[in-house]
Amino acid sequence: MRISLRRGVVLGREGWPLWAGVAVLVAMPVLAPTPYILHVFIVANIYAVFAASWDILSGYTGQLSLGHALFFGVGAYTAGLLSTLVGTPPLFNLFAGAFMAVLVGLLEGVPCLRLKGPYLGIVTLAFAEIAFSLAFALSSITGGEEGIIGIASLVRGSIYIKYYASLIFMLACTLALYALTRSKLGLILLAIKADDAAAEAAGVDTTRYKLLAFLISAFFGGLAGAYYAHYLNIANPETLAIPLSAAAITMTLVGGMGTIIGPVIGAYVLSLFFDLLPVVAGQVEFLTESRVLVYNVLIVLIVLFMPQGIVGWWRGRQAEPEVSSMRADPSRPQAQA
Amino acid sequence: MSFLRVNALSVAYGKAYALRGVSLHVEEGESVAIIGPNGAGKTTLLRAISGLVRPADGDIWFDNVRLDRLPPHEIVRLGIAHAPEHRRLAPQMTVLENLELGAYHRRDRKAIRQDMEHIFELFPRLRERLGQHAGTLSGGEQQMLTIARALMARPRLLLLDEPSLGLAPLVKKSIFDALARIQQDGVTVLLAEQDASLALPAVSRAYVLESGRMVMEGPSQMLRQNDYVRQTYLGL
Repeated sequence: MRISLRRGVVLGREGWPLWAGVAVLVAMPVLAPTPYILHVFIVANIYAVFAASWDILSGYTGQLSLGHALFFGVGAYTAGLLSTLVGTPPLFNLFAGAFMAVLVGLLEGVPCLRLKGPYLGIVTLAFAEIAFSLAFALSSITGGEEGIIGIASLVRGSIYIKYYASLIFMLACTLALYALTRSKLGLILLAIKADDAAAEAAGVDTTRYKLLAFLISAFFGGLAGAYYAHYLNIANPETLAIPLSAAAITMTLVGGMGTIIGPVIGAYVLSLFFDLLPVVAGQVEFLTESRVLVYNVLIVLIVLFMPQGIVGWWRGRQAEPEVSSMRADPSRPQAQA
Repeated sequence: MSFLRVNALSVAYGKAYALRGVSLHVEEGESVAIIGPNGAGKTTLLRAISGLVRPADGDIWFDNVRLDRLPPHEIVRLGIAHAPEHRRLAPQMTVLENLELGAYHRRDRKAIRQDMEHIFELFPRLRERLGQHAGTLSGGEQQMLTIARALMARPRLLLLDEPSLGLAPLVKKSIFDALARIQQDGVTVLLAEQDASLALPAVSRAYVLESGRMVMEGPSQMLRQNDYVRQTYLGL
């Protein structure tokens, strides 16, 4: 048997549903009955990148972040301030926002490296809450509750052009993250998640790689936030708030943790469900009025019946029966063998 | 100067001392065992050598480099690989990925592939399980993979912690057979093992560690004749 050490990008594992999904997304402007649906998809694309950025840190490397909106918000506010005060071009602001998020990630990551599990989660939550409070406290700069308004659009023109721009943005970011998980770096991050002491014993400088995962995650989180600001033309405290941090987590749980493709699918499923329920169920008053309830019931059902998310469920179905029943469940703590 | 030298090493977890003034030396090409009961401090001693715990006192030298202030990843680079207790593998990574992780700091792809071939001669079972998740291997196979992963770093000194733990007698034997071949390849081995009847025949010298102190040392032949060792550890 020939041993191959090359770890290329292999998207084939997900099989035809992945390619069918991409085809549907490309054809969406033709399929969508109203332009409003394209708007929902644009926001879903941005959330997909954001959720995938959470997944690389928490799902893939096992470093629990409960305040991931911090990076999104920093990206959004940075882009907003640059656009309205300095007037720099949106494309520049995207990367400036991502860069600022990386700096904040460094500020947060360095003191957090010794923390594990729930402790890390609490501190990341606190960091996001501090930033949320600052958005109100520094209202002369941030615009307080109103936020920053009148941010330039990244793409001018019809909703179709905006939709394709967001699709390219989403595909580029998630493909980059996916390729990263398939690289040697991905192997190291996975080893850190499995058992960081063992990774250390194998010679991995775990501190350095945990920080690297933090910074990569912050970069894509900030990029998503800046894109959001340049699409909706606003940056408000909601971009730093707990519900957004929670959204990254629920989207990833629904789609499948540690898979990068999972959060993307989760972002679509949940965004579409939440935003289109009133459209589809317009006649049924109960469903429209209690959509938050229905949305949360859906999350509970998915987590109950697909504990590894949609991608995990699909991979389990694809695998040989005897292998799938023996496969270690990455979402649960592993027993010491 | 010895290849590995541990001088008056003390390690404390909070206020509880796991090791008190322990000294040990290993010469290049030698195989040395540390035997002793559960909780004697064997694992702590190996963890201190590979930098996973910081000593409270004493010092550790390897090939004229002081280890006790270096982080674990730099110690691996110096040529010390640790096959930890309880076979701590990444369960959802495949056998191949675990082996690649062991060679993580090496750049010489061709030599890595050769080493992998060599390891499959040592542990043919691993070749059969190459694409399988480590969590689905049997206990013995996981132990083989733990040792194999450490060997992939191409160590000059292999630290082996309780390789027989929880394994069936026949599996234990195959692990120790492999160990003999690893020694023949010129790797220096420091073995921590509760099962003295397995460890002593496999090494040239041994130390007896009890409650954090070295109580005895000597050639393994001699220790096997010693009344105390025979009664306490060999059950004869």
